[in-house]
Amino acid sequence: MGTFDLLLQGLAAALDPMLLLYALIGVTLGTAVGVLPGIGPALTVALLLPVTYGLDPAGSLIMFAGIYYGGMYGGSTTSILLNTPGESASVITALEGNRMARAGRGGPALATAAIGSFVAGLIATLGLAFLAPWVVKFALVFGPRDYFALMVLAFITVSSAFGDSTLRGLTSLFVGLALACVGIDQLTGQARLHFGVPQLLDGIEVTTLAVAMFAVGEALFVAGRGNGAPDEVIAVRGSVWMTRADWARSWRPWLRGSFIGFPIGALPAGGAEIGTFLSYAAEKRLARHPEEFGQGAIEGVAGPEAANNASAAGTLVPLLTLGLPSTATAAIMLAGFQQFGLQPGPLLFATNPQLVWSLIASLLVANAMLLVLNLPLVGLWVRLLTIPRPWLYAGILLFATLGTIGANPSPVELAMLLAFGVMGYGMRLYGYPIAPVVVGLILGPMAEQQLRRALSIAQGDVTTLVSSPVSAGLLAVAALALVVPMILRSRGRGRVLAQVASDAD
Amino acid sequence: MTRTVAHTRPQAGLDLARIGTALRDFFTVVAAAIDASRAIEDGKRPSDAALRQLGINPASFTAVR
Amino acid sequence: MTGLPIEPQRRPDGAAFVIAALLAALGALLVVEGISLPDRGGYSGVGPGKVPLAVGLCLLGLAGWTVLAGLRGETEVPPRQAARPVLWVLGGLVAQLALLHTGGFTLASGALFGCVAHGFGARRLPVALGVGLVLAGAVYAVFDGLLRLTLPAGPVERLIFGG
Repeated sequence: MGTFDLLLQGLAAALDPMLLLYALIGVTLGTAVGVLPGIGPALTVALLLPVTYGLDPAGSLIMFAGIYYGGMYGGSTTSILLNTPGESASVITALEGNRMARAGRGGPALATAAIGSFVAGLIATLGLAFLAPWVVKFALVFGPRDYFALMVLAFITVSSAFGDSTLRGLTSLFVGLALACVGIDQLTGQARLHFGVPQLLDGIEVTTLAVAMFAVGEALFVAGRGNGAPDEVIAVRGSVWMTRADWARSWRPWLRGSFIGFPIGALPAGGAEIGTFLSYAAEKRLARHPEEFGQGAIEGVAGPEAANNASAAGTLVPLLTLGLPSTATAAIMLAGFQQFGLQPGPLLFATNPQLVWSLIASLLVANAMLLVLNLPLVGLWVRLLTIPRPWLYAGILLFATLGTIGANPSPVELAMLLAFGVMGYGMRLYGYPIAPVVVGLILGPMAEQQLRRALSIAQGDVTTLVSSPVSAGLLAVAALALVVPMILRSRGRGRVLAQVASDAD
Repeated sequence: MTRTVAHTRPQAGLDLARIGTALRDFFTVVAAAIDASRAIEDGKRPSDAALRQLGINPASFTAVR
Repeated sequence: MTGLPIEPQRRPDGAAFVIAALLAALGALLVVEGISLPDRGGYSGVGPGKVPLAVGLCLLGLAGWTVLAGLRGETEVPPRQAARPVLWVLGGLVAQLALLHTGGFTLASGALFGCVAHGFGARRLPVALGVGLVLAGAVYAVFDGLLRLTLPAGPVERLIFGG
């Protein structure tokens, strides 16, 4: 099988000692940052991306893979051990994991999360490896109008298909699209919206925007909340290892979680936690001891963690094969690739397959390294969690600005960081989703290119946008995704109020 | 021997109804998962109904303030 | 507690109008820019100005919708915000911005660290600033020296690391 050979080649390349060192550094940095409360995988990647700029492409990619998986592992450590699960990466892991930790079973919880993540990452990455060539084959028949329709679908699903307000989602999306217009138009070289400021000619960096809204905005939000009760870290008592019974109860949830999470992640519509919620519901229904759920059932950590990781790897499918990011994390990764001069998509598979396969192989290597190294180092990560909040957030902002300054040390960039941070803060306050802004910023120029190319081929005829079955179909789905939730919500409102009335105790 | 023949007819009807309910269950759970996930992403607390569909006791869901 | 359902906020919130005004301003900006750009559309008929124009128009539409939603009382009401910590964090960022090129990375980021820590509750500002300076200096050493990330050098860097 050609795919298998390519994967093995990629693996062989990735096992170079220098690259392994980079993977190690990436995994360590990723975990360290991912552990910090309030920093999810998206922000971890955005913060640490500039660290990789100085290296050669292969090294950068593998460090990047390490940061990605490390960030997720760090996040699950926080979910289990911190008593304010609202800061955690995975709410569901926090549900059962916290209970387990309080009962003195924090070690096994961490272990099942780590091993489950590894299994899920393995399954999902292999799934990616085997699925990718098929999608690429399919995508090669796509023309610009089909890509445009696909991107419109991505826009709609990210901003308004789910969630409680189409208005707010669309507003966020269009703010992102507006920001995307800043810079030089790629097709004609015309400068747009730069107001005479030369630094704006390059457009607005996705990482600057993401770091500003996620880190600065979040810091402002937490600051504004005032001093609540100090975060309490639940100590990891007893052994870190799982008992035989734990293994027996975990392995099926690991597999089920992986198979639930991967397809959800691969679809352009996923929300970050859909897979974890579904996995939890499934495990509860299939468990031998369902009454334990809510008290610390290990299946409730094993399944959702696997689903989470499989989902994250699943988002790489549309990203690598079509160049389409479906979550904020994926958008940041796309920005990362573009920084290295790579444009993910079917063309990349055709022109530079070694690079893509070595990235996929790097993911496997990073995944394995994470398992081997980080479980014993849990004590170190726990210590990071105990840093008092003032120093923690000061440090977070220090590193956030470090990335921006390292990439582009101009006051304009820092001013943008400040402005977008305030914007992110405002959005958080008023319930506007942040992911659509990031996706709009990075996908906007690409969508515009495809639109103009399609119209160019058709000599200005707008009906070309629906003239192929693929594009017409995708646009129809997008229209449905926009309208159906609005209808459901306006009908549902009556039902919800009635339910609230009957629920009131 | 004659008794076993009687099993097939009612069995078919039962299976269809079971498939119907299973599908409905499945979609309700999926919808609840989507609802809850988006609420979390917005920083809000998922609705009690959605949580219950997913097998979570709303009272013990202290994740979001 | 009686069995009354919790009523969502029903009075029109001023915030909605501010948000709508901001959106309208952004939209207007894009529309103006879109119109003023030369229309070198080529074969596609869509020049560089068309997309900003379209986005701007949509933003104006969304601004209107926001006003409508605000009148219907659908705006989110944010929880009460503590002003002092927020202002300290913002102040720290502004300080860093101002000091970066004149003072160098260590001073600027040290100032940021100190202000943010103080805003979040670190009791003594001088201590926080001190810790910040040391940490920023260490970060400079690691990232500029080891990882070859170029960071702006100011008097402190030149003093310690020479040139």
